[in-house]
Amino acid sequence: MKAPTGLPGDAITVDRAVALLGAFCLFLSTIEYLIPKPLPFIRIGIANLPLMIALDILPLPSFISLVFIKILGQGIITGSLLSYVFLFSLAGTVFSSAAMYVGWKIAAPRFVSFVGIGVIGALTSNITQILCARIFIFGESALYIAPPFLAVGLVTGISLGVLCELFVQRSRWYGDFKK
Amino acid sequence: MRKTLPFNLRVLDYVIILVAVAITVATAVLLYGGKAASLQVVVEGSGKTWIFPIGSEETLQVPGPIGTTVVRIHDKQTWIESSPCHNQLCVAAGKIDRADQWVACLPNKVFVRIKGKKSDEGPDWSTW
Repeated sequence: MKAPTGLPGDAITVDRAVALLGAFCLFLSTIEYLIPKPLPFIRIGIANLPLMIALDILPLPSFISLVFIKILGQGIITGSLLSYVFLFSLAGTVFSSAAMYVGWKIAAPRFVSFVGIGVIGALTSNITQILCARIFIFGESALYIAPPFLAVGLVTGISLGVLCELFVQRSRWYGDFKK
Repeated sequence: MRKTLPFNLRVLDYVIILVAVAITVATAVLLYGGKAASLQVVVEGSGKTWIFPIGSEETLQVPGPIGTTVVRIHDKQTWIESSPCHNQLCVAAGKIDRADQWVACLPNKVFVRIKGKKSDEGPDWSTW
């Protein structure tokens, strides 16, 4: 068995990071689930924090597997895995992670910080879910939930971004990983 | 200026936040903006439906199984002026002028309702 070297390109180190961040996603999903929600679809999205942290340290394939670990784990924890709500979660997470990944690769860290990336993620996720709601369930009237939904997303996106930025600055684990 | 965050926001952070605010405000204005102007009176009877803007001036003779029900739309209000039913509940129900209010004459199978966005102006008199 090969020992992890701690270098970013090292397969074992990367796999360990995926496992750790994946577990982190599940834990945060649980915390998220504990928090009462004023409206059914409005969420803080703290389970996306590990995805944001992963942006800079995981190669694309590992990032994608982390995204699916998050989606599946969240589906199991919230019990929505086999319901239509899962489709919303799936679409929201897939599109927002894609948007965050692309945004990060294009502009970070010079032109954008995790704050902007967080807002992009929240916005993409919310818009995707509103469109899903419009297409699959409520029709035209789904759009009426958009403004409060987007406003909350903006606030949570900024907060998550700040949190992520602080984590990245202070975490020794992250620092070691980046070396 | 006191530094409140231990890191710097970059150019695109501001741009993204501004765009997000703009989208949010734009959807709010678009969706909640054009208010009560869009209220419509929907009158249904003998299998037909008539739709009028609430601002219109109409006296409508709606035929039904037991006679003719007269529906009036006037001064942004609508009501059943007369109906051949014997209990006259529909006439007694009075005037309606807000989204989702309705008045109906069941014996003559005439149903009048106001369709449109609910506006938050004024108290909800039905529960007040």
